[in-house]
Amino acid sequence: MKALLTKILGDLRRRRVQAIVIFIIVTLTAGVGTLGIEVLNGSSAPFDQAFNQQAGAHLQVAFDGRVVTPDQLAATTTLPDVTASAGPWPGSILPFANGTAKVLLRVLGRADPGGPVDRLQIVAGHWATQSGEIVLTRSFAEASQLSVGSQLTAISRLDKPTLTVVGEVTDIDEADASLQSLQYAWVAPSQVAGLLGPSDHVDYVMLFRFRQAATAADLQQDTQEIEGALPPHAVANTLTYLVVKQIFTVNSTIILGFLLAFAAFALGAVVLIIANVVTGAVLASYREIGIIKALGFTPGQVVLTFVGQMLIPTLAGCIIGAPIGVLGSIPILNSSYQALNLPATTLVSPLLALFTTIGILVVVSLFATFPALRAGLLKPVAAITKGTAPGPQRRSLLSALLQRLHLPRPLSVGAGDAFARPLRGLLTALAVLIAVATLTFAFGLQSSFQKVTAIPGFFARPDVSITRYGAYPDSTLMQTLQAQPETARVVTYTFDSAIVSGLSSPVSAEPMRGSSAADGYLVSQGRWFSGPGEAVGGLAFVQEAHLKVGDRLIATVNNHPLQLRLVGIYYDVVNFGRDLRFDWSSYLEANPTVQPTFYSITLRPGADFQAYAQRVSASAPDFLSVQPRPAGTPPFVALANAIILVLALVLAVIAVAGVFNTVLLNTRERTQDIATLKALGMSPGQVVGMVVSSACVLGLLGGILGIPLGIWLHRTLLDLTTSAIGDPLPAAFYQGAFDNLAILALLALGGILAALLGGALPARSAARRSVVEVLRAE
Amino acid sequence: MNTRIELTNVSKIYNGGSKQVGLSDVSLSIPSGQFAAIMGPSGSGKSTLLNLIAGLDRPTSGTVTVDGVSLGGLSEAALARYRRQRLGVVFQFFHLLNQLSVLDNILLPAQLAGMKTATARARARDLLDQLGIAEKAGEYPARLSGGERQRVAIARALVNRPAVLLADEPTGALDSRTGEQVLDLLVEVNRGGQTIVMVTHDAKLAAAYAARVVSLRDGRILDDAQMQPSSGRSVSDLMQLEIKEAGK
Repeated sequence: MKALLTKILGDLRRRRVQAIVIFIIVTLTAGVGTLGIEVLNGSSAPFDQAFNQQAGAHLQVAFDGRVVTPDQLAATTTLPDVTASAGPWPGSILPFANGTAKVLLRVLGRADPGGPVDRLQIVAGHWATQSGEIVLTRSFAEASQLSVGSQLTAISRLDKPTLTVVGEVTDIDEADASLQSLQYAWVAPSQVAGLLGPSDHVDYVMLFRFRQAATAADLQQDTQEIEGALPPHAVANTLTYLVVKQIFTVNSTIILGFLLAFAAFALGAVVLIIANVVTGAVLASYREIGIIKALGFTPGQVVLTFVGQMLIPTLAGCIIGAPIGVLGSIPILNSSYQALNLPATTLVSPLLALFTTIGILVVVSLFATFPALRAGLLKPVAAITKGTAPGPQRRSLLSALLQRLHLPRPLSVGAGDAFARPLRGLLTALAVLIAVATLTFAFGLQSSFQKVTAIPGFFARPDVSITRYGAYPDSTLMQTLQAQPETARVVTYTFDSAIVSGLSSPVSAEPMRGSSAADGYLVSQGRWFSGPGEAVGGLAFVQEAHLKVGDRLIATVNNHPLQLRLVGIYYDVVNFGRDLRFDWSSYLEANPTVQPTFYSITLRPGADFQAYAQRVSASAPDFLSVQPRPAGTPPFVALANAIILVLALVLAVIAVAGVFNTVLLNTRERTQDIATLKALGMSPGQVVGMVVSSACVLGLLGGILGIPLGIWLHRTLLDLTTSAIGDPLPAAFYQGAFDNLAILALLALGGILAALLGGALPARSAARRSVVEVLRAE
Repeated sequence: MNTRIELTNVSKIYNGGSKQVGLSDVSLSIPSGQFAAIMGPSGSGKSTLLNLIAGLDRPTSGTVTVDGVSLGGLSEAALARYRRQRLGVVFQFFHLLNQLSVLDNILLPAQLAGMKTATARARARDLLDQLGIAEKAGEYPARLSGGERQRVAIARALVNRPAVLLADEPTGALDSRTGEQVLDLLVEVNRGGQTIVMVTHDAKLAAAYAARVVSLRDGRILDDAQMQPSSGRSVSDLMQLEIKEAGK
């Protein structure tokens, strides 16, 4: 054992450059891999943990108070699959003013925060028990810069009652306010009636837990049973915990997909490099292998000398990289954990870092053992006699081809050497291919993110967004908007729900008025609606209702059946595809007096968004919330872009390291040849050119093949990631992602750049080596 | 006679733990067309002398001039040009490139020197004919015998019509019969006017084939003999010198 260790450490000292290269790339890989696994483990665990602790609701149901009474709702609590229920709590969606800002809240009258379902955690202040008090979710309070003691004004009534914030809670049945815009707020039950405006009505909210609620199908069945126990159209809206969990984990899921993909790429590149190193070391050490075997090393021990040389820097890299990965996972997970009042540090697992380390060591061992077996199987006498592995003794077709093209001879000789050791060349080209594919993939991701942020609804905002509250007339607001010279286009809409045959629960319905086709929605099939009776749907809705473009459907809104024709399917980011949009004129059939609540304003080029918003707001400050589009990149997109950039750079470093290693091995093996060529009159510059040209062939090959692989990875990974969050991107999204040929050419040249960077130092070293010393050593 | 190679008070000292003298104040002139052998035991400085003439190493002091070019002030790139334009080198272990064919190995210096392809090919084939290995043009070095490889190396060294041909123990890796054949070739090349400097430790070979034998010991010139019949020096004289020095 001691002899083995002595040999391993001695060889490591001799090959310290390669050992350092392996240490660096394994550190990066271990860091990325551990980060990914920690995020994987931590992204859903806290939700599950908090959900169980707080007895979260499997199903939240809002019942239309005009159709059903609390006594009738009592029948739902005794359904066979119901294990616990809470409510019915009276409430409504009501507008509030917070200074000059206006917000909508779903207000519920609830006597206490505890109970058999949805036990709210009070994180500040106390529960609302008296008139004039209100409790908010912590994420909403933080987002709106409210705290205990702040005041909100209910603007649904002319007397505008004021409520004081007395407490903040975390609620497992709601996602963070940045992801779920309509948040709950709680008041004493007796307060609810005093907040309703003339056009408002009471809804009732109940929360349920069931025996079987693991899947959407289970919950669909439970919903149908509840509907069956009540008068028709009693259920106005439902929300399952699976959707809440989906919203909770969406950011983490997206980032996780990229992290794990990059980690897999990095590990793949690392093991290719290690296989290359071991192969080269074996080929260069024939005589030495023969000698140690003659001294008494067993074949297994010989193999271990090579494997051990790889494991030591690998272990060192994991020791440094894995903890970095653990630390790096904390800020990524923290934003989600904070919403649940869970400290992130309790949710990272050092044990996972250990598993990652073990996993990397196992994989590296395997990839080092295979080429090392050759050393173990060598016959000692043959190895000592030969001294070195047989060199390449065949004509390089590439060299001959390049010679015909009249390339300078040093370049054609060097290029021809690229596959002098075919396995080494192939492994290096593969490492470059992985890096170029990753860079291509990263470029595609960046463009895709930009495209996603341009889709209206989640990240993308119109130039100016207006919410109209109370009885302020739509017609007056429209006159105000049309009177502004900067106004180019106005699209109005409101949120409702529709019951469609075949659906387990009502679907989100958004009737729209104005030229909404120009808003930039991504239509994957058919077209946007253009008049009365036409509708477009999100993919999840269309699939659930078993519809196709051209089909007629009946959507019951406000108890009124609307005859619609599905003219298109579009990509919906807000409701994960469970969405239906149609023309405002159709909506008026069900609601003749309804007025839109939300207004999206597109301004003429060069308009000042801020000035416009201030002017419009000043026309009716008590009834309008006017928000200009915020400047800058959404924080999540900025974070994702930063992560992609860092990961792509990691892979690029690994590729350069791979090329460096190969060129180093090649120049060491060709030391005598290079010395001979210098003796024949090859200048130092020509030697560099010769060595680097060999690397460039590998880089070009990896670069050219890496592009289509990267394009495929982009499509596949985005498909998988968006499917995982339940909202797959349509095929139309990917069109044009890689149309810029100049960029593609640059990406392909990235392989050559990696070759130049990786080959430069060994080439320079080879050019400087003394001919005399080399040729003297026979 | 023109002087092809001129060494003036050349010394080479290798720095290391203890300074090692490679050459000590050596002055030597080799005229154009001469076949000179540099002889001496291991460590005598003969390879050092050859490396200095080839521009592969630089003297610690003194000057080395080859074909009118003083090597002292040349950069590495200039020395490389000098080697490809004015020198041909034959090594003991041939140092052919195994992945190139015989013809490609011979063409290599010509291509480095920028010779036109057609001209270079014609010259290479001519040399292959002269050296009796024309049929080996398409073969690879691994398939050749030692003698054939050395012939290829000689052809490679001559392709650019160098001013000086340097041969470092050209028969060291060959059996005696093959070695003699290679030396016969060198003599024939020399008859055509080629200046040749050959390093060898074998006094018998040196005397039999070279017109002049310079004997080195411990970095100094011990003897400088013209091997002409009129000089009266003979092989046995050189052998005696060698035995006497070995006994010291």
